[in-house]
Amino acid sequence: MLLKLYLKDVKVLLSDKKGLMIFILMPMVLTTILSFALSGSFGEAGRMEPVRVAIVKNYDVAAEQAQFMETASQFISGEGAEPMTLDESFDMEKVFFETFLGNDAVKAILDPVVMTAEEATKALENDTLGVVVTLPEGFIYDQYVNFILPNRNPIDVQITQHPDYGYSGQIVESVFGSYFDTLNNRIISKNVYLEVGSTYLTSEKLFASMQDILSETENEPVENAIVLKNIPGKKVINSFTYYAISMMGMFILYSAGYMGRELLREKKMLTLDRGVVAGIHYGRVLAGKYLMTTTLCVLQMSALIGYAALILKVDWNEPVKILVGILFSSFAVSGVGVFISAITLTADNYRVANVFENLLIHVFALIGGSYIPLDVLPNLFQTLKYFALNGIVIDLFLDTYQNAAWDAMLPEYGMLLGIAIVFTGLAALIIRRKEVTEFEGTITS
Amino acid sequence: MIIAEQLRKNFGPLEAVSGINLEIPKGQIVGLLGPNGAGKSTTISMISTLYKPTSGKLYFEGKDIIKEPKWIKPHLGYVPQEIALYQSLSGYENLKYFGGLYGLSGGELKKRIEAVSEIIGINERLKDKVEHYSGGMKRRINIGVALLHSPKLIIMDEPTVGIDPQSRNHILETVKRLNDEGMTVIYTSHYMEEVEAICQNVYIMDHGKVIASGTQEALIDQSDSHTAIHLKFEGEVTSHFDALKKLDNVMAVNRVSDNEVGILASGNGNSQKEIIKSILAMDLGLVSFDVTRPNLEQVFLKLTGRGLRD
Repeated sequence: MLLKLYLKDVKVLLSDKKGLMIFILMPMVLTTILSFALSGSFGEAGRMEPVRVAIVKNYDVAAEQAQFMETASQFISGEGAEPMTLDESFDMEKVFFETFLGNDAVKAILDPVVMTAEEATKALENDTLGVVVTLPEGFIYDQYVNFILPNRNPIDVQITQHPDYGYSGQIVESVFGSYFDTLNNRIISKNVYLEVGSTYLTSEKLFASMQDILSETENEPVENAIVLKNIPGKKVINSFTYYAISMMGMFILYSAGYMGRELLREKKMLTLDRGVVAGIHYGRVLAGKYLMTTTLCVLQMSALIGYAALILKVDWNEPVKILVGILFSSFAVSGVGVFISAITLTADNYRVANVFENLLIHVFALIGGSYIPLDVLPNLFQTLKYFALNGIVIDLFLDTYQNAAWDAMLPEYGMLLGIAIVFTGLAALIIRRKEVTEFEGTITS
Repeated sequence: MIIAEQLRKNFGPLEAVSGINLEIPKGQIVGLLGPNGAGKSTTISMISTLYKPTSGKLYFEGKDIIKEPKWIKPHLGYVPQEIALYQSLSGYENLKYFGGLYGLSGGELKKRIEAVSEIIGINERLKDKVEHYSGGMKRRINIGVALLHSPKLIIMDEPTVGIDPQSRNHILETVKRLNDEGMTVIYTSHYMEEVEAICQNVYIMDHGKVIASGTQEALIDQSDSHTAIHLKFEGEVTSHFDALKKLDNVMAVNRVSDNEVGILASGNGNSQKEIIKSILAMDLGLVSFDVTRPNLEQVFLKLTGRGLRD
């Protein structure tokens, strides 16, 4: 019997072509418009302070200096020179941390903090900083070699950024690129060579090798590489992704609004009475409507996700998580829908459904982040979003998009399931009471 | 088939039905007559198990359907006053859905849909959406839905409101045909001529009470000492009402058309002559008059002091 009620409701739903157009096409249109209109403000909206950067040192200064001395000694040993020592004024680590990162201009852009790899990863995950720069093993040794010896060793610095700090990663990459560009500059190489070489070599030997070093430097610039990476598994959320998710979160509320009118509509059409005469209880009618609303939600969300993937090139992955997200969201929306429907039927007018559609959905859209990302709104909104169904749905799908682990999304799943259970339960109670008062005539008809 | 004893229904302080007694014999068409607010719809809603009576007894084939509504549900066809159909679905889809609610499925359901669509004369447009049907066709599908499960009793709540004469005749013919096949029918209407045409028994209700009941003949016999006078005037008649009501022996006046009125007169032939003489003396532009035995309309007029559609 439930299947018959459900199939009838789906048929009625599908026969309303105009309504379906609004449910399915409108979110696509709005997603496209908002994505293009606000694409420039995504990544790190509102962040103007220096980018907080973790510096992870994967090298041992003393060991690498000793290693370099050994290499350099071997390099010049054939010529009977005395054992080499490094001048304290030419400390590559000092050059990097004090001369480069301590520069006022750089400090205005970057706020570096030395951390271990574990600390940096945790800070990145917790969103307390935006970028991690990992200096590789051999970072000091290779720089000495590149400066002092004719050899050139590539240095691979890795920059890892939080997806929410898209511009920050690019800024850090650019600043560090400038540093290495400078190192590659053969004039500086020459000056450094002369300054360092004069300490260890006789003038004849120094200048005898100068031409070779300069020409080699000129012809074969050091291939220092900076690789920009995101946190493993996390992806940048651009405007297309954000608005596909946020419009989805908002428009499924209209499914709840549609459902909100259904029972009273059936009552006014007398089809509900006709069902009751045939022996159908309100509860079953409600269950059929619940499943119909779930179907509508699934259709809406699937269509928008498909559209975002095909047209806006949003790279959804984890199809199982997407599917589970759709189902949990749909259950919650259907719960809210049947609750509104039960109240509307009891009130015997569409006022509650109208208020929900014309006012509450827009309030939820604002506090849930469907119109504007909550990052740019006061902190209060970060709490308020949990009072909006769409806010929870948006959180869930942003996490899903960024490949969050199942357990990381448990709070959202739990909240959606809670909403579904509580509101469906309330609707069932209200509808049962209504059925009894209707039958017994304890209310004025 | 249906017996109601002291059936009463209150909605809050409002007493919609005040302790009525009904007896609907099997195989009959029983008319429930009464103006708006008389309690007809509430009465049939109680028989349909939509409302629980505030007090009284209600039996279907000897079984108490207030305690156990399930006894009547499978045997009851209900035709609501309004079109209770899904407008955006086709006639076929509506019949299929409502047939399914009564447990029909597969070949049996298909056969019943074919049979019912033949009865209601709508099989050619069964695949069209209901919203594209005329008023008469919607009414017919509305009835068809109630026939799918071959009920023993069908309740029709003003099934001919707002439709063309051709569709009305078709519906009345359908009701008679169903009755001929053994179905019991409870039929409510504003239209006295419909009730006169098809009902064997009539209950007249007003203000929540049954004020008269019996066969048409019995009801008319109750008014045997009265006469119906049909008057036709040159112009509009409404302005003459007060003057006509003041005449001796005039019990009630009702408007038949813009220039026609019906008068229910008491007394013998002399009193009727006096009424006609008085009207002629008033010079109201009387064109013709006709003295007849009262019909149900006049019976109702006598009982309630007002016309059914006033």
